[in-house]
Amino acid sequence: MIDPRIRLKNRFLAVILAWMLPGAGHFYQERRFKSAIYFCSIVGLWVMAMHLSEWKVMAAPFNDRNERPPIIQVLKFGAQSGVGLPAVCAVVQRERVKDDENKAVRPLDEPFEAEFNGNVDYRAQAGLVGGDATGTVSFERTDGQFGQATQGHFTGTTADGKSIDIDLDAAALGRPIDGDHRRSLTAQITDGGNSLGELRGTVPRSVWNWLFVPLNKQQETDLHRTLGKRHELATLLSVVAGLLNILAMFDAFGGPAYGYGDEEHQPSKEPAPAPA
Amino acid sequence: MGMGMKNISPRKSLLRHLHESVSRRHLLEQHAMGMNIYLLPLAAAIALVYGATRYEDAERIWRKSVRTFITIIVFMAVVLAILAFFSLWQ
Repeated sequence: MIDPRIRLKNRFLAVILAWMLPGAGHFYQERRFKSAIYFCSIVGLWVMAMHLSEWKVMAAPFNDRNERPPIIQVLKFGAQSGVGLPAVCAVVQRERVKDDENKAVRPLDEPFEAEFNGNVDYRAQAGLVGGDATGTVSFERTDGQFGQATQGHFTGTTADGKSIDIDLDAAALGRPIDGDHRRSLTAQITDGGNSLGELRGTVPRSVWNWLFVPLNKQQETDLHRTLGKRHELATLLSVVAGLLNILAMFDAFGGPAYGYGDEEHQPSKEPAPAPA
Repeated sequence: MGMGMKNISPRKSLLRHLHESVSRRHLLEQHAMGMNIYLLPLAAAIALVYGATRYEDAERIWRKSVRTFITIIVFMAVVLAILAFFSLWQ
């Protein structure tokens, strides 16, 4: 019997809201204190897990070789799915990454400009130039001898502070949607059609194109190596956050397990009748 | 002035062994404590959610959560102490 002071309203709607965003179902039921507790505890844990793992621990089960994903991945995602909205996003991202359109771009067919980080290796008039370089790459469509072509330009500096201003050609960009924050870019460094060397590095990828995207085996291995135990801890925190939200969903549907909590303590046995 | 091992009693030898073991593990334990600090918010979140799913009354939830939190922390501390004690003999 639910305490009449607790208004559950539409329970099914409350459960769905509680699943999508921890605390939202209780907020809808006007149980503001519990809403705040669930939101702060569960979302707090979840954000901590994501921060520890560089926002990469949440991904839908996926195997890039079209095989069945490992059962441990399925169980992990099953528990993480207790927090619904990110889980839905993760499933959407898995479908996006599997799409046939998601492939490396070569040659570039659209104008493109981005901050670049990587290295250059080419033969200049003053001698060989090589090493790390940062700057800006830009590509645009131009009318060439054999129709439309994409010409690029890089301006930046090397690690030792030397300015670089070079022309680029035959650029190739990595897949638009992938698990890394950054997208690979390679291009030939040219001078009036002659190849002088190569530019190789990365450009930023938009958040929607990497967040919750499943990692391939190599990226997973790299992440384990980079994060070490933090990866395991983040997995644990995200799994616990999901499982705790399932408890919160039960509360949104059926109310608290032991009643309101301010009842007087009832003795377990009836008092013995007084002797006549 | 030779300070040979022949004059050290078994009790002193054991204490020296324990001291060396503790010193050797000091850095490792510091690293482990860095990770363990994340268990505090984890325990707090579990205690709060557990308490909130049992009762509706705010005061009762707080009391229940504090008690659960202390229970979890004490339990983990006891387990940690037991493991640390046995690891001294590795």
